[in-house]
Amino acid sequence: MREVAVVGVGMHPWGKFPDKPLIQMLTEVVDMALKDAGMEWKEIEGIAAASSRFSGGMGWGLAGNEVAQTMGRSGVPIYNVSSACAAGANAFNVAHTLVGSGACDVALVVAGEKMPKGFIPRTPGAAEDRSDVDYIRWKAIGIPNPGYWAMETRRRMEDFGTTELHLAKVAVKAHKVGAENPLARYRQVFTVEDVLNSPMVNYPLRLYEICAVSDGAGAAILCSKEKIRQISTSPVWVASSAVATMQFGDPQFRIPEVSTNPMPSVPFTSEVTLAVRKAFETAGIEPKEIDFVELQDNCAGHELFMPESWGICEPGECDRLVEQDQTYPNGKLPINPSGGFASFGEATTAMGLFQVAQGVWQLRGEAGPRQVEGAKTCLLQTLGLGGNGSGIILKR
Amino acid sequence: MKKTNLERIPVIEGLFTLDPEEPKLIGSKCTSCGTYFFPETNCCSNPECKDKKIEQAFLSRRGKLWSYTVQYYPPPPPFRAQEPFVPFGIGLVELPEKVSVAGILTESDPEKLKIGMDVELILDKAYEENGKEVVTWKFTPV
Repeated sequence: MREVAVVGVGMHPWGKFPDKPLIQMLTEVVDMALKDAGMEWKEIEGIAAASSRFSGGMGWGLAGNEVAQTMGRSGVPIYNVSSACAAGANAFNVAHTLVGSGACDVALVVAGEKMPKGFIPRTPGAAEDRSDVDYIRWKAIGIPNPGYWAMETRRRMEDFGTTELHLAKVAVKAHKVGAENPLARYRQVFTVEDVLNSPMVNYPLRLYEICAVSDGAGAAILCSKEKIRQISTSPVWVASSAVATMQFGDPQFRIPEVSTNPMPSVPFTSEVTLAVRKAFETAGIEPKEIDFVELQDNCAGHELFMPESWGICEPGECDRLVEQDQTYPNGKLPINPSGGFASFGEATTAMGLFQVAQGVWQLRGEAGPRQVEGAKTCLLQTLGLGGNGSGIILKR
Repeated sequence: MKKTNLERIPVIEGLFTLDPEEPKLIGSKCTSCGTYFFPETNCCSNPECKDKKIEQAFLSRRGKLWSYTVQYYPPPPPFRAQEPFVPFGIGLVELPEKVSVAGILTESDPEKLKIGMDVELILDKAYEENGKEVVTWKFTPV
């Protein structure tokens, strides 16, 4: 693979924008990324887009085609990637492969999503199909997505002695950091008491410990090292981009399943563990060396178990780091210096590019009060329905 | 199973037997590699398994609670939540066949639920419809 840089990023504020079509959000972020890169639309030689789940795409997930039809029908290859909440990062992986392999020198990666209100339900009008476990879980058990995160978190409390106070402190940190991010949707600071007094949603998870859903969009321009010499910019390099899927025997109880076949030899949330380990291996970076992490905090519990399962810290160590406020941007292991999903809300397929934009701004030293001082490397991670995992490592 | 005179029908066909004394979950067993699955499947998903010979299998009614949650808000359709809504427990239960199955718990107090506790499968009312009692499987502490 050739060396590939992210030369431009664009990100729409996260929130609810009922009067703004998704395609407008997408064209805005592509424009921002092109301006950031000092490039023009006609220089793009390939497009990778995340197929949005809830909006646009002509009902076929053709987000990339819609962008090209709106911004310029230049005849370039377009790849629309469907992998649920990992789609933004998986589209990034496709763009990285296009440029890294030499298939093209400049690729656009773009993703956007407009979400329905409230926690994600079963698709209204979906067939009563008893061969579909998603139907079974909703109809016969009634378990919503936070129910899965709650069970995983309750299990961690049993295994490591994690307490409701740890979970609350994770939420307090996320909101305190997110309040400093101008693009975040939720910019309110909470105390531990506020979090513990927020309504219990799925024991042991409370409302402020679970991410909401938002509208959002992001874009990035990837460029080969050869081409980059011709333009003036401050590149951030793609140290690695890895994609994986879940393994048989994974003990994680994941959305939307109603059973598991747990085997002790298989890693917990294997799709993510495999992708992240591969990302570290390819980048030639030791997990403990990473300067900060942007991870998918659907709930406060994710922030505790994930870094441990990737070898960034030891099993149970995240609780200690949280107790000592060491996961803030100025701590030993900064986690989600963007404010994370807790502060932004989840725009499902766009989340991978939200992380890329946040990671690039940090590595350029443009993150203002949330800046991780001297950051040279970061890990970005997403997890999508169907057992889709991604890991991206950026460096400067 | 609570006594009732209403005709009982399953919330979804084919997931469990309607045996009033000892209802059982209906799954699959791969006779090649020995893996059990729930619900029934037409193919073994173990990537190491070559022959993938699947047959119907009933699962044990007793197991251990791997983890649990308590559902504090009414799940959206197609679930038919009780009105007024009463929070209920949901758990994942490790069965002796090395398959873990999720289900509603009859206990909804998180302080009374313990990871590792023994639970047993029962059938219980999900809702009533057209004069019939629609039942689903639940796990109850033993």
